[in-house]
Amino acid sequence: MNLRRQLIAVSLLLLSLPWAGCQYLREMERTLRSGQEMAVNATATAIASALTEKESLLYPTQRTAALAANAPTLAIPTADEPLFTDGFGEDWRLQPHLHALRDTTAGVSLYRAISGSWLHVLLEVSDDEVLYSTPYRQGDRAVVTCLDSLGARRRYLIAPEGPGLVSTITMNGRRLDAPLPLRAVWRERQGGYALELRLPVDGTCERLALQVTDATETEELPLFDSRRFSNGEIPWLIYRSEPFEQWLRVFAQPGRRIMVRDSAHHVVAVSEGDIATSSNDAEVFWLLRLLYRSALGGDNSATGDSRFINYEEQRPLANTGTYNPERWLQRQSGVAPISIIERQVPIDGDPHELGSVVVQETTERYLALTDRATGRVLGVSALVLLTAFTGLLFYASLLSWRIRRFSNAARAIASDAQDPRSFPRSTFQDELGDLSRSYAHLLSQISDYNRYLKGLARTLSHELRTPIAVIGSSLEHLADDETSVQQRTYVIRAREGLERLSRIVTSMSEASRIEESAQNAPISTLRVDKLMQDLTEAYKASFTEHEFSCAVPSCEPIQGNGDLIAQALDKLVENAVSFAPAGSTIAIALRDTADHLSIEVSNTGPLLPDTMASQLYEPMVSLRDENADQHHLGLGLTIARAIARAHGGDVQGNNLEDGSGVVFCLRVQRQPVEQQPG
Amino acid sequence: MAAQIAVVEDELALAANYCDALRQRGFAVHHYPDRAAAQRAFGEALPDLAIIDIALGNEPEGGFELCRQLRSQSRELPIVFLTARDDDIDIVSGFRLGADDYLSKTISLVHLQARVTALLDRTAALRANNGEPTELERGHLTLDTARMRAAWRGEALNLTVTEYWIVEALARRPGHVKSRQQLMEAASTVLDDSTVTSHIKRIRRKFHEVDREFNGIETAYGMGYRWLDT
Repeated sequence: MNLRRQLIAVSLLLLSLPWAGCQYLREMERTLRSGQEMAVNATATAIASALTEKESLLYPTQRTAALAANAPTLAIPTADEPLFTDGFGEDWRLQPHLHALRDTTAGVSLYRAISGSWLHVLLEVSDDEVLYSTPYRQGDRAVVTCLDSLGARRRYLIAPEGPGLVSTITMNGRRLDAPLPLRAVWRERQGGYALELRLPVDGTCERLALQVTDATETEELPLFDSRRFSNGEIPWLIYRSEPFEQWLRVFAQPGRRIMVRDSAHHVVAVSEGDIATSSNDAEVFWLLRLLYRSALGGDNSATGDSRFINYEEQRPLANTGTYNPERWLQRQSGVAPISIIERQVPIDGDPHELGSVVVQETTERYLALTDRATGRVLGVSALVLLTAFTGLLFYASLLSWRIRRFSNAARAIASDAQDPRSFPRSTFQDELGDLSRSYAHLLSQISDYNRYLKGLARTLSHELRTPIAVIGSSLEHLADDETSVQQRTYVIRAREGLERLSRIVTSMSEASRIEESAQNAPISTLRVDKLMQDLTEAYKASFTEHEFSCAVPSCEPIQGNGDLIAQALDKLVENAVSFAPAGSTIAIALRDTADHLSIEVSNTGPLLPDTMASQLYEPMVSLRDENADQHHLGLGLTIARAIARAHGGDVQGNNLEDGSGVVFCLRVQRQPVEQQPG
Repeated sequence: MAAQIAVVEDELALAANYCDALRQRGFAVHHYPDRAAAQRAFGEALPDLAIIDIALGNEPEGGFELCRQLRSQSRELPIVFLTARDDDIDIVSGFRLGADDYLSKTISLVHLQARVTALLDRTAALRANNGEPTELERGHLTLDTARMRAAWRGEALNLTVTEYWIVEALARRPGHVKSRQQLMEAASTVLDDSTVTSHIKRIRRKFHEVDREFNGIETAYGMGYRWLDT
């Protein structure tokens, strides 16, 4: 795992930022919710206390609260759409909340609704044979009994003489003249007939009962009596009163629903604020909301009195048939899950409770608020994360680039390809910069030390040369003088020893001298193939104990210094000769590659040890037997390498593949690096 | 009158040996152990030839300084550096200061004597400035064997005695390969191979200074060098 990845992994800690934001938002949402709960509570309490004084709104008829508790009632739902008194039931069935009361034994369905200031009733009756009235006999008929709040009874008899608008209606046995107070339409339908009525809501009909009589040719049967839905009594009609709802509208707000129930839990007024009129024109997309909700934890709807609407719990309301909360909610929220806050407050009366006020509010308002905030928090955190990631990535790249630069430089220096002084010294004032400077300092010290070691041989040879000269010149004087034969022998031995010492001293500084002169050697066009052929001939003459083979193809001339290359080849051949057994063949070959010439000298003999591979080229390293008679300072390969490097190449020694000996390969570049002319 | 030779050398034993060897040849030799003593003496009278070590006492380059002063006093006085230092840079500096030769201390006394004699002869011949020059002509090369002067295409070459001897040895037998050993003998010196190589290098450079196209000295790799008549 590299540095960059590590830093990026660490930067994942930044993800706690949006988490913290969400925690904050949850807190905020909780606060908003409790604020809204308090507001709902306050609204409900205000309405309830206002209604304490407004009993007449709650009970517009003479029916008292006490009566309402025991009296039979019939709930009349309010139609959303206008109903046409035409005897067809389709407009009713389009509004499913206007559901029917059914008498299955009689096969009668009773629909009823309030629309505007009209009371609509639809009776659907199963009848095998529809019998119309004639002047001589009565056919199928319905009796509508209305009582006003004081108990004054009106009994309408509807016995049509044919299908369509019923024109003859009797009230309390007296035939009514036009205009009729109620409109009735009789319509035959499959398996029976339908009777649709429209009565004015004018206080004359606070209680209502319907009876249906089925007539045949021979007999008359009472088929249906609506009183069976209300314990045989004529029930009070319970419906939402228009004035009350108008009064209630003052409290209406977008996303708020207010219901007032009487003491028998009948809903007598509903005020619905439409959420579509609220200020949230930028409705939050439900998928985003789902995301926000899950980001905020989602358990928020289970607190306090609010909850997701559970329609089962609304059953006492739904049963009345006066309104359908499901529809309201669906209209308000579309398909997204919605949570509401509900508060029910009793309306105090004397001596009885008058009823209760229920205030429901969708949490949409503060949800929208927190959704927007969540969106902003998520957006800002995304931006922050992106910035931080980019910054960290850049920073990590910079760090890793710097470290890589150091490590590359160190590797190059370790592999001897670069001057230790070229190690980059960072100018940064940080730990890495310090490290690089310390490293550069260390390397320069090492390189100084190396240079000291190299110079040591040279200094030593200089220092030794003077005493050698003293001894040499003194011996010369000794030899000149008249000396005995015996003394002369010693003088000769001393001179031999001195010559040997002198050679050692010279070769000690030879390597560094050649390194120096190789740098300044004049460059000229050089035919390496010819040079090698000439040299091979010379070697044959010089090293008579060995055979020489020469495989040199002709090649293009290169730019180089012939003296130096000849010297390098000399060293390789001397090396080979000293290791190869007498009589064996030393092979000299030239290989021509695209950018290098490769001069190879191979000989049979002992193999190179694995351990000293890289030290072979250092001065004073020799693999020769220590008892060998000839002194050897192990400078040959050092010199050859110095010359090869001055020509942009190198020297490499390897064992032959068949294990019979070693091959040394001297490479020189075809186009040597630009050099200072000497 | 015997030629006056000044030996400036801080290594007393070595100086004594040199002085003895030169005196045996009949020269009048004076030894000065440091630069101050030498300068005082040279202020009074100039020697006929000066042999100077580069490092003098605690002055690592005292010899160079002395050489510069001597040269300012006399343009013709032969100056020989005799030193343990054999770096190219020292040799080049020495010649740049006007030294006539640059010898390693490993040189044998015999060779030193031969060189001193030759330098004195050459100076005498130059001073005499009479008589027909003994000349050897090889193509564009003209050698004045008495004065040990060489010229290429009529332009004088500033060769040291050692270099002159090498050129003469090569030019006497054009086309013949002279081995390094032969060249060393001709130049009255015992040097290692690489020193011969650097002598040849310097000779070529001096030829190049007057003629960039010069290639009269050819390397016979593994054998030596030969003169090519052009």
